[in-house]
Amino acid sequence: MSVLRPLDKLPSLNTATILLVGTEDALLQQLADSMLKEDCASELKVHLAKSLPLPSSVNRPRIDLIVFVVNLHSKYSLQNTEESLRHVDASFFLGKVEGFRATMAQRLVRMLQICAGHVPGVSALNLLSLLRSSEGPSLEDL
Amino acid sequence: MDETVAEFIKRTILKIPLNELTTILKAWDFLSENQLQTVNFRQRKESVVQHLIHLCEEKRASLNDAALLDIIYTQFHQHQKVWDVFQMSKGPGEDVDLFDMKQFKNSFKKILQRALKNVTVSFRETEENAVWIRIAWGTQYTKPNQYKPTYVVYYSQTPYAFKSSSTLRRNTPLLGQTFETHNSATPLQERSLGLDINMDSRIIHENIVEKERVQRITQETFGDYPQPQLEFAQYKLETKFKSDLNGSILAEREEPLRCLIKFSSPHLLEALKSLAPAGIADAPLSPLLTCIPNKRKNYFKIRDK
Repeated sequence: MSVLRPLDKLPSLNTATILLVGTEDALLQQLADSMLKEDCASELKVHLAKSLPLPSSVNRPRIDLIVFVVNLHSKYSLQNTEESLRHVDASFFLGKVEGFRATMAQRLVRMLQICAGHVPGVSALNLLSLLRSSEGPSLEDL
Repeated sequence: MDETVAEFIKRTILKIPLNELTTILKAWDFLSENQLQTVNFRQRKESVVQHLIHLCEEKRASLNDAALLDIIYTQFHQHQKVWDVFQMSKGPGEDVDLFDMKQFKNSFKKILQRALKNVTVSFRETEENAVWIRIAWGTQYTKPNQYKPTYVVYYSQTPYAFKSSSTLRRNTPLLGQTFETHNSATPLQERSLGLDINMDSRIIHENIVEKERVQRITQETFGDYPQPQLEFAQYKLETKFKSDLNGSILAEREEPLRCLIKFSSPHLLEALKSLAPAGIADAPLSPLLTCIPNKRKNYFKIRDK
């Protein structure tokens, strides 16, 4: 079974790639549009997928951040997320974010920049260990 | 200014809604600020158009300028068109070439003009590494028809090109060959999506194949035409309780449970048709829902076999 593992590909120059996974394409598109409207020094690329695993035939850049978008009104949406999670290595997990789309888009862009290594002084590895320790900041604080 | 060009510009401007007119004219950047200031945009549309044509004549608008205006209009109204998606694939052992926009435009134009004597090709680049190509088709003996152009939007950093559906279908193979010749790649695969795809090239859809499958199944099930207007469907169930959970009290019950499920909507069948494309349900939908138009009924009694 193919599994996405973090940090197993080389990053591309000044590009930060995020993968949004969710059943409702319209929601993913809206979130993608909001993120791309944010002011960001890095070049953003947003990949949209309904579920994992991703088609293996495509050559794609390193994915810096994966966001699963779950519609809490839809059992179908939750089931799809559960099944997709099986294809993601457990060490990828950072946490969850809730809230209005605009603020969420902003937070995601900032997180993405950290994960892509575009923020001096904070690396993706830092982020993983920071969020794991109970004294560290929560996702909302970032 | 040529009469046909004047007519072409006039018809294009007439299409533009008044509230978009200044924006589009500014994007066109053909008439100067001073010229535009002399126009009273609050008049009747015919008067505005006449004034604008007069200004275009002063500035000696060419066919190229007119074509550019048409491209800009289409860019503003791209959602009104149906687009086919083409994916270019590399032959085995081919390298990624560095893309040169100028060279691409030159060779694209040359190839088309060599093949067809009468053709108008115009380009407009946009910020996202995309180039809009407008092609007006003629034949060996007739001048290009400016009112039935084909648009191709090519994102140079991706293998995708979008082509507007055209009534002049005979020219599609020629377009395909033009891309082929330029890219020296294997023939194009046509993928018709008919979906409202966001054309921002920074957004990549991973599951295009799945989307197409859903679209195809939806079309096979519901057809292309609008669904009959229906406001509700009712299912009376008299079935035994089924559950995955062990030890559920209801699971041991021998008698069937009775329950009534009612779906209501201002347009139920259209709502059902949109479920799978919206990602709210998987395709194909349950036949209990999709059989409604065929069976011509919307009251169902369901019992265990």
